[in-house]
Amino acid sequence: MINKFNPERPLIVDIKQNSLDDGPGIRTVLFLKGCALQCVWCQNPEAQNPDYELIFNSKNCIYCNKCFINCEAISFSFDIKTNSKQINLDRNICNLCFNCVNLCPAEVFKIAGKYYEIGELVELILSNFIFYKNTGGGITLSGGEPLLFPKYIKKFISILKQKFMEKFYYDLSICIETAGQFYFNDDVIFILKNSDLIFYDIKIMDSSLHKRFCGVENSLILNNFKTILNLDFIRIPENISELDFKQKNSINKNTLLVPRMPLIPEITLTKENIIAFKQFMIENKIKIFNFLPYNPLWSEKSIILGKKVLYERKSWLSKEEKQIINEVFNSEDLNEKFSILTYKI
Amino acid sequence: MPNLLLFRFGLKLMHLGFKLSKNLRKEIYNPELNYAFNKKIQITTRDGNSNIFIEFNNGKMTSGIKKIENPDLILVYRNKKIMSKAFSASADKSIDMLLSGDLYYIGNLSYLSKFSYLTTIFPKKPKLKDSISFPPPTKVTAELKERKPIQNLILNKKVDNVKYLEDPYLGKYSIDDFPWLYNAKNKWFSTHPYICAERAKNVTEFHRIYGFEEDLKGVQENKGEFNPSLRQGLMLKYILSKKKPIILDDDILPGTTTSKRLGVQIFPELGGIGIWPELYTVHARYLNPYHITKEDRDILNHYVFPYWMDRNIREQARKEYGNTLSQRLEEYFCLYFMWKTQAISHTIPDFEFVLKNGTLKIINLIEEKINLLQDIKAKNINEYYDKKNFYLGMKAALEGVNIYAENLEKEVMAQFNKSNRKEKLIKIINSLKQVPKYPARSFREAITCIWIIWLCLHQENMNAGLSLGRLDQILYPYFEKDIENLNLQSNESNKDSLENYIKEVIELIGAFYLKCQDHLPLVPNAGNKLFGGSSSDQALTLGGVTSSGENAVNDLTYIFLKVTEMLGFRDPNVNARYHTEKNSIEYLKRLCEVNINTTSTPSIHNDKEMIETLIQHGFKPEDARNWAATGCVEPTSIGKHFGHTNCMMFSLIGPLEILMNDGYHPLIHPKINSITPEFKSEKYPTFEHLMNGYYEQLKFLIRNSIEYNNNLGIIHQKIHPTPLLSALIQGPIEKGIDLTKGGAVYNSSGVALVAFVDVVDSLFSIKKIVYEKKLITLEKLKIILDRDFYENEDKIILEHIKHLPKFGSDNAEVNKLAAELVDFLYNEFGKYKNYRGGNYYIGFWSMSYHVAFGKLSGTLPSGRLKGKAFTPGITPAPGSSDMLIENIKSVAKINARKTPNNIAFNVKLVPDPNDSHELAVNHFCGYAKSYFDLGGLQLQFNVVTSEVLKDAMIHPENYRWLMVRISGYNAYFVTLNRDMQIELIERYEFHT
Repeated sequence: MINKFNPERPLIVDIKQNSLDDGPGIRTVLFLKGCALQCVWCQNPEAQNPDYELIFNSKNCIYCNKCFINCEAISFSFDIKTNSKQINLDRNICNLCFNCVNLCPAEVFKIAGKYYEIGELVELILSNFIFYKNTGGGITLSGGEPLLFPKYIKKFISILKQKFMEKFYYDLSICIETAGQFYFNDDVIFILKNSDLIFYDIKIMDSSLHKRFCGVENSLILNNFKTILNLDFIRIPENISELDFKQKNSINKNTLLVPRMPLIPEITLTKENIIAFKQFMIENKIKIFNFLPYNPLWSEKSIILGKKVLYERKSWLSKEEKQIINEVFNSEDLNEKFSILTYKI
Repeated sequence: MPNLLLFRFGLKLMHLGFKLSKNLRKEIYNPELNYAFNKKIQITTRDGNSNIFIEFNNGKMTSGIKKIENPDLILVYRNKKIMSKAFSASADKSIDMLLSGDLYYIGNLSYLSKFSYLTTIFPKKPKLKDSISFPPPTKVTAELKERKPIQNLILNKKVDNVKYLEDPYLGKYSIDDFPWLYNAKNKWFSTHPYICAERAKNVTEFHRIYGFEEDLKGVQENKGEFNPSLRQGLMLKYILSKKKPIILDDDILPGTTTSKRLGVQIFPELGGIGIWPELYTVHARYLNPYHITKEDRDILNHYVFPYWMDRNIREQARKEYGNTLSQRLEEYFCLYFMWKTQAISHTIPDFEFVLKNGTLKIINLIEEKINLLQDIKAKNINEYYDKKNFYLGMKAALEGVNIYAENLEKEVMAQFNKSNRKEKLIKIINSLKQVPKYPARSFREAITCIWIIWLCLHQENMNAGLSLGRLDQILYPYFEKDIENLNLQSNESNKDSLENYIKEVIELIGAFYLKCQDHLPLVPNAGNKLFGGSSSDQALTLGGVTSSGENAVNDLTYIFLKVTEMLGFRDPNVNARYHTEKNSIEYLKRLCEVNINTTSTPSIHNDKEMIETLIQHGFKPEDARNWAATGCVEPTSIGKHFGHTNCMMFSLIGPLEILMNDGYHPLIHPKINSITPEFKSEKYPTFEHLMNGYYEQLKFLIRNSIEYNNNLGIIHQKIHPTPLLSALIQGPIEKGIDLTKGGAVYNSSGVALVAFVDVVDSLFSIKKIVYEKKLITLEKLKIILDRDFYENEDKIILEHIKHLPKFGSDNAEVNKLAAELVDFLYNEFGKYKNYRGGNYYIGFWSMSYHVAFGKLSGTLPSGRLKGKAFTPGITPAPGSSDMLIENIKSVAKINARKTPNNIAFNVKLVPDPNDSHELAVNHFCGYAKSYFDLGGLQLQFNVVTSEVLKDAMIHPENYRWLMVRISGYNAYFVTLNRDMQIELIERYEFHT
């Protein structure tokens, strides 16, 4: 069971079979567990730590006390003063025996992270073939940071592509969502080459702010971006219709690169940052990029993982905040120079 | 101790009333009409200890407290306490008692209706007051403005078999371009329905004069019993001749189904008497109130209903076969429901035949057949009379149609001089000079002919799912001919004339849609409580392939879709056939777009799978390819097939409840059977034992339901054959045999199985919780279910159940159980023949009976609580998966070859507000295409959020237009009962 960080054996926190937001068409998204960034607004906090974690959602509790009785490390307690039925978990004592997960009837506990054999994943994805074919969909590797596990991913997508060819004579579309904080090697290049589309997150242009909000400076991320841009198989799409894979029938030689920025109020969604982002796009001759609007539901996920919530923001983007984008990218920009890809904005 | 003083006091008052008031006495003794309600009623309790009797005898009423000999009707209350309150209970409350098993009856249901009616007029007749439940009719224009504007894609490419439309999507038109349709639509939404007694009165008049059992006037050649086919034919001719010809001020198609603008027809010989207890209250009831005039009420009460008390289908069956168990089980409402007690019209007539020949030629054909009968006369005199009377009946019915059409023509002529819309009236007159007597020559004549035939058919049988078939195919030759006559060359003015012609066709089809909505089926309040909101479910089918297998999607297919989108009406119930190999993806895209724009129509079918399934069931390939949806979703091979495709609604939970209650049903007294052992662990040591127990109970109810359906079928042959419909379907004229006797080419019966998903989830839950995880015993499970998971310890079990895989999670083990059950049902129903020598075909859709049966069922092992709706059709339960593709994969795995009566798969899918219209359409299309590629048979989207539905629940006045798909048919959300509304809200909402 014990995993820790193992580049050849990643855990998966979730498989979304039905995403319409992570690339063209209907896509199966694998969220790999583990990321080198520690963004304070992280939308998938359960995918930061590469190891197993215990999710404790006391809201679902029906007070059956099974967890209390069966915990190996005795990490549960009651508040005697208030005489509440509410059970408390001390994560410092918890040794991740996960007895509570198995015994709880109410899904108070869950294990974040599951290891899948490649064969298991391939079977599941094969069963969705028809949905990919009809919509130009495929799979998306997300996370966390999928490129922290190049060896595993390389093996996985090789087998997957081969199986799709054998069974359906179909070139499965693969999409990568990366935060850019990874080290290049041949396996990474193989993965990028065999993908159809890379969503590359660029968050904060100012390096010191980046360190403050994401835990590391942005130099590796920006360098990796330039390295990828210079790879011979990478292509910058000129218009959005190139991202429709429905007509894709021959093996794609190129991999499309689309930068993406999560819009986090007062962190990434500041006039300065958006201007700098625009400048960066111009410098690199990029026309199509994607903004991801802020989703406040993440903080709930952080709480049940026992993490401290460092960024307090409970509401969705306001109209005024969205207006910042329009101030920087005026209508002329959008008509002639840029296209903002809108999978949900 | 409760006592019966109040009850007896009430009866005393009643007694006095009859004694003192001549007017009241007329209710039970009416020598003028030769009518005396001379019946004995016993009122008792289950234990038989408290007894009251009432006896009516030539206007005198006596009552007392004892058991009497041979009562005509017995009312059995659960106990004395309930009985003591019964007399003062409102009509509403009495229905609740009946539904909850607090009260059941033995004997004639019409007597119960009559008695219930009598209790409503005491101590005095209620005054008529207006409906308080629904806001006064106003224009819906303002409401419609609240809607998200309809968006349209433009195609500008001729696809499929389109010849004339430059943009098959007709994206530039909206209803604003058709002021006539726009106004008519508004008017419809603000018209109140009226009960119409015209037909009921004329039918009764005919029978009072010419006889029912006996041929009083000697119109028949042979002596003896009045031949039912001849009688029915003459009756139709009589009522069609007497039917008031009506052309409303704004009509462009002549004729009306009833004498009202929006009328509710009464069929006293079928289920019409059910409205008797409500004659004074129906206008003020909460759901679907109908107005009724004093005159109509008196006609029904005194003249019509008394005549039919013993002569309707249900009571004739009781008389003929004794009060069989199979009939009594149906009358508890919670196990199965037989449509034959109400109608047999779930089929599709052969319009092509009428359009090509005209009624006169069909009459000639029948006369030739009569001449040929001379050969039989010498050999078999009985067969000779049977056939001759049958042919004469048919002929009379068709003559009736012609007389009615002539009367219509006279009526338009009479209006002509005073009219300020002469231009329109001329067109109506010209059409009526030609059709239905002679072959139609133009699109206008063809659609006029179809409408007249259609409304005449509604005089013969209640319109419950009588369906239109493939009008885009049947009308296409006339459309093409008209365009040829336009003599188009490629210059601009001709382009205009083509455009004008297409607009005219749109308007005619729109008028036809409006006409289809000019009547409502009669729904008594018990029906409202159980389901309600259903219209007549007149299915219209578009697209697919031709009978030779070519792409059938044509210009008219797209025009019909445009009309469907602009009007957004529940009727006709539009069904689209989509053939994955022959039809274009642009067509599927358009179907999805119309569905998004109308919220719930059309329902989309997998043409390829349905055709192969029909071929496998003995249909010739060309007939299989000519299938169309009937009522809800069920296939009928047009014009050759009498499949009474909704002969019954059958609850799959009923057998499970009887199994779990040791042969009892919670709502039924007494015990039903002892064919399975008590529900105890030692009796069911393994899951296989339990499954066998379930199968035994299933077999028992299947056998009984089929016995009753067949009995009712034979009663239809005896008292209610269908000469007019028989003349319009291939077979009867050829064979000289009525449809109800097996005259058609294909003669199946269609069954709708309800609560399939609930039973799969329940059985799977028992398997896991009791047999594999061994969390509780069967006995404990029963205790927990009986207290509805109320105790804390039950909640733990409930949580376990919630987290089990369900049908819809695409779990291999659940899918296997589902497949086994489908196989069993298919084989078991397959063992029986119907009364016409055809087979029983099963399907999984539920109309609104998932709500009705759910309301009458207890808490289930699946975790579904007592009284909650079951899942509609074959739709996975909410929460089975949050991924639509898992739902889709599960349903698509149901073997289409084993569901020849089709399925209904509901998906509540809502476009993300940030998606562009085109992206949303593409997403819908992607899901639909994938589902069909996986072999799924049928799919229907509801494109509305639960938020909007909740708002509509609170502010019905803003949402009269809001259409939703229930299971196979459409309804206006605000006309649904609360349970149904909640069921729709609770459906899982997927987003794009």
